[in-house]
Amino acid sequence: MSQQLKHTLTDRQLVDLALGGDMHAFRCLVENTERLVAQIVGKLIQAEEDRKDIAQDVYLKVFRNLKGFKFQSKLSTWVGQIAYNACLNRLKKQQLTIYGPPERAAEDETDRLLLQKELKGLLAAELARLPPIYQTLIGLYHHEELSYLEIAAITGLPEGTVKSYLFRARKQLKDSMLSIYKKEKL
Amino acid sequence: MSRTHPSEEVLQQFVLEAVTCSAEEISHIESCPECQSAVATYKVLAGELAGLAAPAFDFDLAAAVIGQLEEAAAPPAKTPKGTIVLIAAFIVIPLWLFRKSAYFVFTDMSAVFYWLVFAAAGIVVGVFLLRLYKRYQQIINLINE
Repeated sequence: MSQQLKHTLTDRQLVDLALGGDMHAFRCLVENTERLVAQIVGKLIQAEEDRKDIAQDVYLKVFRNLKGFKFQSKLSTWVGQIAYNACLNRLKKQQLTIYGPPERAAEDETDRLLLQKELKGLLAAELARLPPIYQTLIGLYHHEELSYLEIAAITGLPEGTVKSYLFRARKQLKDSMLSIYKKEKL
Repeated sequence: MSRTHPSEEVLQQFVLEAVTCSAEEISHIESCPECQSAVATYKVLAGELAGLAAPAFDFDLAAAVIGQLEEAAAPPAKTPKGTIVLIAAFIVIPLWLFRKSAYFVFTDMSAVFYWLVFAAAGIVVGVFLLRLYKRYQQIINLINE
């Protein structure tokens, strides 16, 4: 079966092939879901090396537990759950929280983005100042276009909490953007 | 039109999923310049957020993972082959070298000797299987970490 054709297979077909030892199918599975994993790991984990380690660990876990996946959710949601929990475990070991301000490492990147006068750059800088959990939820909703329900399934947070966090994050971003523009006008 | 402005949450809802707003809220927002301004800001914000560069890995993640899986799975397939060839060589080469005298050696030996030979062979096979099992356990632990 060609590589291109495999990208058109359903989740169930991909999983069945991967369970049968087809590594091309497993590669497709990784390629189909790695954007979501990058979104989660990229927002929750600051250190580049840790991101690489976690991403690989996530897919090793996916491979190991593939047999136990019962298709009660979308494959991507399940992979997302594994990625989110892997990040939480790593942060727990490092005694960091997803609810506090981001690590110092993110500040340099924020300063660099703030030097840009374009709205995108300013917005990216303001986004990087938000607590990691807010950044993640914004990424999942606005970038990956996931529903509140899917985000709730990935993060294990109640749907109402997801909505509430997203509301606060957007409001914070809007207020920051307006205050920056007001300062520039003065 | 209602005089009270809807909450910020409702304004966000109006931008992202207007169907969840009540008719009264929609009517107010559409005719209130203040709310219109806030809605416009949220629309710009939502558009810009969707347009931000998505995080991506700068390495071939699939290749890295598959490489690790293959690395973990490869050794057990190689070890038995090499060991089997080695054991076969230890048995076949001496037998072939001493083939002429082997007949007399084996016919003249006592039953105790045969039992010793069988016991030694059993120990060798046992040790080999034990090593194979330990290696298997190591790989499983590596994958499960």
